[in-house]
Amino acid sequence: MILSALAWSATAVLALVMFFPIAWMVITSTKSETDAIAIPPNLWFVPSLAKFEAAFIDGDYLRFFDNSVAIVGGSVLIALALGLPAAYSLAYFPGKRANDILLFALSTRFMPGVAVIVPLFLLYSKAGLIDTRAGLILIDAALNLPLVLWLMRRFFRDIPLEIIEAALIECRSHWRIFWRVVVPLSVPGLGATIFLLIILTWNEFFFAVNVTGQSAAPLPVYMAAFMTTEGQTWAQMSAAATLATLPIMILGWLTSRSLVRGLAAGASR
Amino acid sequence: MKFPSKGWALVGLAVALSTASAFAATTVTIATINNPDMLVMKELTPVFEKENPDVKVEFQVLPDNVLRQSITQDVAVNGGRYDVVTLQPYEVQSGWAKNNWLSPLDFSKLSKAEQDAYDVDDIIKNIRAGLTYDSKLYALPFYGESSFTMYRKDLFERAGLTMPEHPTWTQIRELACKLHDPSHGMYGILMKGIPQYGQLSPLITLIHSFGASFFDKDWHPQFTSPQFKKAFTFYVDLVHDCGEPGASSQGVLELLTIMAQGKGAIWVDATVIAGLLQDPATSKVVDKVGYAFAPTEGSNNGGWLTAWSLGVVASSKHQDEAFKFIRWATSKDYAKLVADKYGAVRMPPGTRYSTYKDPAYLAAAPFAKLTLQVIENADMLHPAKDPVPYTGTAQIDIPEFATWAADFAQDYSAVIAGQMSIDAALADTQAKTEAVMKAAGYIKD
Amino acid sequence: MTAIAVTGSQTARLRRLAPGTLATAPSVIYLVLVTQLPFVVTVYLSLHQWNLLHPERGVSFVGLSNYLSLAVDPVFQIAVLNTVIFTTEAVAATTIIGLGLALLLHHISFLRGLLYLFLLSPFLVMETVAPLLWKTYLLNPVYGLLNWFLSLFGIAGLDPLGQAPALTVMTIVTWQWTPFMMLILLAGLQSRPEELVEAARVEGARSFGVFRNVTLPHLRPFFAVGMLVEAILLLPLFGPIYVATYGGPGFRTANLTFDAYRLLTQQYEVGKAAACGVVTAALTMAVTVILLRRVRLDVQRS
Repeated sequence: MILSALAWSATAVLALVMFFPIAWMVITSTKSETDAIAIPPNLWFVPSLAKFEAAFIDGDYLRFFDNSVAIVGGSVLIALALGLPAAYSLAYFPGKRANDILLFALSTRFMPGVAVIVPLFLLYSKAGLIDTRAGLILIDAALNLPLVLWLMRRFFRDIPLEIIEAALIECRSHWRIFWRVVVPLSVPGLGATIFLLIILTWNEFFFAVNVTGQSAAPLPVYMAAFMTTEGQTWAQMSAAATLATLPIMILGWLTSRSLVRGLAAGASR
Repeated sequence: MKFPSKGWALVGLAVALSTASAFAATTVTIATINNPDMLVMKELTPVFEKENPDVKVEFQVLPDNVLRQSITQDVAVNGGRYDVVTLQPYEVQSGWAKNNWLSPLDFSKLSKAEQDAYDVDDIIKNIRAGLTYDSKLYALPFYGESSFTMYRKDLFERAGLTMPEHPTWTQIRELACKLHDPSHGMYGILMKGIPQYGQLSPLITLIHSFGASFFDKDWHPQFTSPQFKKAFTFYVDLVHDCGEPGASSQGVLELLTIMAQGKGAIWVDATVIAGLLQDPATSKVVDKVGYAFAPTEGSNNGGWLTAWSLGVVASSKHQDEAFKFIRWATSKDYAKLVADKYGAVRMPPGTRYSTYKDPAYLAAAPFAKLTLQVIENADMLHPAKDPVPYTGTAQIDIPEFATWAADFAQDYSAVIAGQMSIDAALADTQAKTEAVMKAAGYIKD
Repeated sequence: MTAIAVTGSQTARLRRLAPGTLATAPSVIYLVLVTQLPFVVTVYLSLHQWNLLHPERGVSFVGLSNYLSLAVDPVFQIAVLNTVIFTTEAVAATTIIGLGLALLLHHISFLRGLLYLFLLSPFLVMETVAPLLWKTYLLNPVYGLLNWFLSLFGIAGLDPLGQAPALTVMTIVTWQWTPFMMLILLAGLQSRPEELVEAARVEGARSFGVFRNVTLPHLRPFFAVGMLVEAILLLPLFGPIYVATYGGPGFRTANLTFDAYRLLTQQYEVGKAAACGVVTAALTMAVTVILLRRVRLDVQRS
């Protein structure tokens, strides 16, 4: 009893510590600019939504939000569509080439974006992909695919091979087995992977800013616009950052139940 | 609750407007920075669009170092994303004009009425010179700045001190150290120390104002010269003795925050900042700031000169519309528009003589007169006491500047952080810069 | 029945039922098409001289001279060292803390969802925003909360970014990425077969025994894949370095990505930046291959 109380307290303290900078950012978004950075911190202030309004309307939030949703949706779906069958094959039926495929996939992420951006920009320019959602989706899908392969292979392998074998003997369709057996049994892992991909793609900045322009720019570019070098806009910037992070926060909250299935029954022991 | 309905109404309006203007004939895309004056331009753009119903203007706003990289890359490999770019005289002088990346602005093509209305001769001479290359004008200044000394006149009064109109650095040091009181959260002078080459202007002008230079007439770097070392040592010592703590990670944004919170006594920096310190929404020192010329020490060039300007990309397919837009955004009418909607103090500073003859502006901006004097005084073309082969006061106008200045900035930041000695930093920079200049063909052996 | 042990005959039987290359081919083809063409062009450019600000110099073949100039550049040398150190430290720290957090979350139930969200939050913020929060709100020597808090105890003028830049960057990165390991390890904990825990308890094992004999072995492959993926994601670390210290002071916190950035956006040397990228990719490949051999993440074994 005492142990679980201690465990809970420790978790709560750590959670508050981890969350503190973000909490401060959200609180600052409701302050005035002079209060935002005042020392000692002004704890008696009247919170206002003015900065959020400005960030939403003047900053044209919805346009960037739309792009983000499309880009994240598109690239994650492509990565899953291509990667899940591959992960399935690599997990249960690894051929001689399996190691090579995995290593190759990982290696596509070895080159920092900054080194490849000029060639990429040139190629995209010729292909007419600059400032298009499709252009960024293609890149993000390529970034996500290796993660699907590596992570989902691990989560698939958690399912006992006997189950897979037995299912295959009963019903020879890999497709059916995949959907009826494998996916349901790997939901926590699949959920975690998808969530991870969403976070990584949602926040991806470098390719987003270099390959998109007016029409296809997603939220990280929106965020960058609030980082000024002349003029004090800490509260404003915090509001923009809060808005940019909010969708992911909400997603995290909605999926937290399936992502944190702890010893629900066992906790009573 | 008030916000959602107002918000959705505006969202609906925005969608309606954007779909309506999707039928416009031309879209002009402008890449710009997120400074308050640019944001005003963005907010007022619908006025331009109304006067020119066939043109829609789209803004791509980025932080200035990202912007620089993005537009250079885009223009150099013909990405075609931008029609109008925001840049400074440095870009014009250090390659953009020479590489034919910008269209020379030809006013003679306009009607006499349009020329008179724009009045290109109203542009402050020094600023215009900075944007001219090979006798052709390549950009129109949106707002210009020089640098000067800002100080807390209330603190000076209380301590019985006076700021001379043309202070020397020695005097500044004296005054700063008298007011330096860290235990009560007051710092004598605010000085930058971050390792970013774009924020070296205060150091560069200080070096020049001590009579030192960066290159001699044969392009040999002068970092290890006694005069340079003296100036550099002065800067470092002043930061350490009477400056704010942690200078090696403080840039203009951080110093602005400190000053606006009332914790700095003296700050030598851009004239534009004066306007920001007068803004009650962000500043706690409104009406408490006095102004004087930038300090010198033996040379008369104390302040720097630069202007955020708008240029038309040479490969843009909308030359006429882009030119029209930048004329609009830098015109007298635009300045009047800003005064009407945001108050006279927000008129774009540092570009036109007419702004400084406007009684409303002079009344609203106590720093206006000095700003004009300082701008006219700053000579971008003759930055140093001795004849030098380069131009530029806030930067040195050669493309290689970014290369060696970036490394110099790292060393100087290390010195300020107390992790490198002055001699080691200067020797290192001297060697590196010599290598760069030799490789680029400036130094002929 | 364990999920780990795979007998040779089982694999052989399964292989006969395999779906064939049709399952893996699309992924491979996609990656080749999207990533290899730019990669080849990058390698090509690394052998050439091309300065964006000097189009009059054109693009000319210079062989390996870009690589040579990198090898003798002290900034590049620091960058290689820092890349290795930063990645190793970050992976180690996030794994240890992440494991602790995952275990705690797994065992509590009251307000679990909320605490989970709080613990996850650092990872949800953009890579360039998080360090800005730290630099501005927390660490600034004049108006940062840390200094204000310490001043209540009489300590003043702490300058973490100037005096301990690498440590500060590492702290920020660890704060940002611990949730990543926590996420992976949580998913691993959830798939831990409860029959094994039961069996262990029946045999008299207490909590630590269960942890050591059941949980840890089960988590081993999750550690492996989590740490490997995190390492690959952290190698091109850029945001915290760029925002918090800009690679300094004195290039103290520069890593390979920052050096490539410096070469491209300050010197506008496309060829040199490409060479820096190629070297980064090659070094990473070498390290990965060695690591994979050591950890023996052989497909057959794990």
